[in-house]
Amino acid sequence: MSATEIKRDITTDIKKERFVLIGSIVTLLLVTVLPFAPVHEGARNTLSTAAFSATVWHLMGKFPIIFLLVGVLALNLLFSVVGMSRKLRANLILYLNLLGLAAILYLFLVVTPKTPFGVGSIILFFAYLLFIARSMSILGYIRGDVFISGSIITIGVLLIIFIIFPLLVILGKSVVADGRLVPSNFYKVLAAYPSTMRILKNSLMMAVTVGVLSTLVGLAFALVIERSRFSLKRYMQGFSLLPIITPPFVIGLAIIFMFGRMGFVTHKLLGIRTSFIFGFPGIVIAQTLSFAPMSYLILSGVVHSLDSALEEASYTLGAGQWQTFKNVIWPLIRPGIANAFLLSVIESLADFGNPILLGGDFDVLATSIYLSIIGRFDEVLAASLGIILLSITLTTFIIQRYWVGRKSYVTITGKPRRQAVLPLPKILDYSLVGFTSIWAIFTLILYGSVFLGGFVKLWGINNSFTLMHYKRFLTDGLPSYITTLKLAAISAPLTAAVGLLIAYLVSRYKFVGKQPFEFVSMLSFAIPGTVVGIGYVMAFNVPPLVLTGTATIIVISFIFRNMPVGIRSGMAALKQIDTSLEEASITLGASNFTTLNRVVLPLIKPAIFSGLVFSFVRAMTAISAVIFLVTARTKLATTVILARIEAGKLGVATAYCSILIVTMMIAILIMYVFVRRMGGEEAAVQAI
Amino acid sequence: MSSLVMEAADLRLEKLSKNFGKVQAVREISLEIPHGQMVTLLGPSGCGKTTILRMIAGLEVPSSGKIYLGDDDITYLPANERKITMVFQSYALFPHMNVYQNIAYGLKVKHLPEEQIRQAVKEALEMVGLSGFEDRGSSELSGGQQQRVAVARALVLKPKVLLFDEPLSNLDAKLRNRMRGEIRNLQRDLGITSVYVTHDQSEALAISDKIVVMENAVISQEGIPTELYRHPSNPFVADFIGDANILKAKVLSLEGDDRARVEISGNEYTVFYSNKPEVGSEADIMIRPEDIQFADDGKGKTLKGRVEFALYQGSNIDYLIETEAGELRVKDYLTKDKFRDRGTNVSLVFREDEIFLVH
Repeated sequence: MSATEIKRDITTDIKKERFVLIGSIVTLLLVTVLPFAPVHEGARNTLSTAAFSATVWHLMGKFPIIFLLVGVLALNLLFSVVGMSRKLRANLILYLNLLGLAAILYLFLVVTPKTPFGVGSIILFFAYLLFIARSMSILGYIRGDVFISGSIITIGVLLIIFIIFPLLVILGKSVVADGRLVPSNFYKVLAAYPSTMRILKNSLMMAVTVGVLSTLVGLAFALVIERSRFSLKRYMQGFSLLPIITPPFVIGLAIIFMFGRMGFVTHKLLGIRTSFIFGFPGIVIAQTLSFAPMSYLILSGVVHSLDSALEEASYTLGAGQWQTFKNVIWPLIRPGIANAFLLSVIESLADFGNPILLGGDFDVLATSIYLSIIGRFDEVLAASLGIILLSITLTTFIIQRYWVGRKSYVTITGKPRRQAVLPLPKILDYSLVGFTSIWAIFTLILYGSVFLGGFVKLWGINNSFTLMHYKRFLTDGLPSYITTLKLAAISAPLTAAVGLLIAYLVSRYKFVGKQPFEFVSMLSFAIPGTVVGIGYVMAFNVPPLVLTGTATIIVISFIFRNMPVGIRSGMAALKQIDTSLEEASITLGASNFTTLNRVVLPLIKPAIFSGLVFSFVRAMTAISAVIFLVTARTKLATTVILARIEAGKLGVATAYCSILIVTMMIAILIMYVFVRRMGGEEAAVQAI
Repeated sequence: MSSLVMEAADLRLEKLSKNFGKVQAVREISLEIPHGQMVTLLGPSGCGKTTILRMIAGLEVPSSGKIYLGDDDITYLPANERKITMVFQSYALFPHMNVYQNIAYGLKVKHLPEEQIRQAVKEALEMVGLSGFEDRGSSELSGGQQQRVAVARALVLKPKVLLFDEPLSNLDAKLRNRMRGEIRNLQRDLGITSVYVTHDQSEALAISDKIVVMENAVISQEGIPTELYRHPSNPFVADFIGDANILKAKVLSLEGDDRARVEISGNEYTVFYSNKPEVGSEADIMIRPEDIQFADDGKGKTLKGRVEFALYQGSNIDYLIETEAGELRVKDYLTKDKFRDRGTNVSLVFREDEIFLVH
């Protein structure tokens, strides 16, 4: 390499290193200045400045390794500025920062295993990671773009920490005893617990029943809304989707109001006092109501994308209606039906709210895990039950994703075709319309009863009008309501952003480990909330990362649990965008980041907003994971409602639920108006 | 206009290869693209031409080899720092921006002053004949207009090299012809070094200074259009560029440096070759359909045959004729008033100086 060539190499590199320089200087400042903040020994929590000081400042005197950590940063600066060949620079930076990573992990895992990571150490850790990303981009990986390689590495590490690591901790809890690996421990614990088989049987029975029923209900709605002559069908869509924005317990409460011991139907109309609803029947009704909307969404996509020309072709070839259905339509919608069924099974197994409220003696896995922690303080049992639950949902998820999902993906997300649709056969049409109307009215009555329930003194016993539950909410519920709103508002944009970024990386770039990257990021859909909850409690209660008790861990759980929705809608939206648009932007001189910002994001607005809406709603209504993570300071709406229900105060609970539903409707309306203004009506409809 | 004249540079590819997994899309391609020239990469789909273009643009990183722009090694330079712009097959106009915003995009991301951007966009629009279209949305333009916007957007940055990726394949035949002319004139007026990818041989012949024919990841032949059309060096190029009849011939003797005496179905001809054949061997010869004529009087070195089908085209008649030397395609411009229907017995003669040994 001649002298002039080297010179050119250096000047272009230095120009590009601007951000590296700034980044390193800021990090150096943070790491060296922050320790002079007041030191409180014995900090327990990763995010307090005290802990930060304890970890860096305090250790500074004791361990020369600290100087190594800071030295690595300083050398990064040097390597970025001094002239050398591309390959050498990349390798120096790579190995230097790998050394830094190794040193920081060694410090916290081996030298001071009892001290948690502090903020400063986390900054350092990610600084090293970003420098590694930088070295890879110098080598020309991923078109030499540091934003993309940095995102991949950062998100990859976060996925490992917040999805894989907690699962490993659970696994460890159940198979490690006295510091030794004892796989048989798992069976021993479960065998010793008398209800294991009953719980397993209950869960599977519930999941399969709910899977079948909610698929059928979803299919009925999909056929009516997509294919019926019935002119009022458009209004039905709203009712059928209502359960999606409903907090847990609402349907459960409504069912108690209708069919419980003092229920409107059971007590008032039939004059009986029965608690038959508590157990299998109650759970099945409530879950079918809750999950039918999801299978409707899947199946309406499938039914919608059925090409009428195929049916017409079949008719012109001499087939009758039944033959056409059997040979053309059924094979085409079969993968969609399998999809809806398997996803309903996962949701049913993961559901915590309905079984805890309506289960009675009918224990299922999700509730048993909760009870074995809360009631028996038995972490090992909880972990072992968690592993059983996880392996069932995971198997179902893998079947769905790699066997069924692949076949039907295109039809679900493909752009809907606008064309004349063939109406259903008359008899089928009328019976489906009849069924779905009854179902919609039933849903409406249930929701009505919850709204009413908030305004009567004591449902079924003293039905006089009162506002006392709402007054009670103002004193009892307001703090948790505000916390919930705040955390949902913080986590929704973060969740949507991370989800869309993952969708962008996965659908636009090739990189080593992309397959596991994508799998793990979608995995959280298949991990039941209770499992995440106990996983987080067990993993982040002890060093190196101590996060339990903070609001941060709740936001983190929201982000990683609700991310898959953003990923899905993002991937579907990105599929519609020709990659040459992005390439055009890049050849016109824009960086990948600018391209993402100016070209990709404006074009996937609908996906952004559906991601936002879903993340917000799911954060507002989450219960299963957060019930393990809340503290007295970070009470959430759903946990407060559960506590009220357990205390028998159904009135306050329903009042609170009504307020939550209204809040979410207002929030969605605001987002809807926002999208309408930004991206046109169609985008808004698609987003909602 | 004058301010838009480009600083152009030679582009040089050195043993460039690209593997996608186990598939080798481009194999050790070396190529020089001289200053101010329009070089076309021509070949069937999957031959690697688009991959080469994308490596030049920086959208793919080569597996091995080098790319030089002038004296600079740009092999690993990120695409957005290359000063090489591209016109895409789908035009890739940003659907959420109007014509002005599309063309101004590259200047905006460079943070140029607003006044300068306005001036440059104005000139670029004049150049492609779309003044006054600034506020149109890209969906409100016809295919040809979209194409022009795409060209203006690429030119406004004064790139050192301009790349075209099958830019005309979405246009109808008439418009395509017109756009060929416009693109070629623009490229010449600005003297901008260009690489043009197409699978359409007539497009390649029409607009190129040099054509590079590719087959299965390697260069099959390169040269100026007339040379490739008249003297293809192998049957693939002969067949790919223009219509060609490939016949078996026996090499009788060599004459001078570039001619051979051959025998085709009993007739002897003196033909050109580019690769020296062996005397006594069997070789492929090529003759274009328009270089075969009917010899109704039966004079000359005739070949007897029977019409398989005849297609009236207006300007000519296309025939497929079954002869003892094989099926021959014939384009008859001279006697097109006389339609020889299926089954007619005919005599054919070759224009001897247009027969070429392609071996």
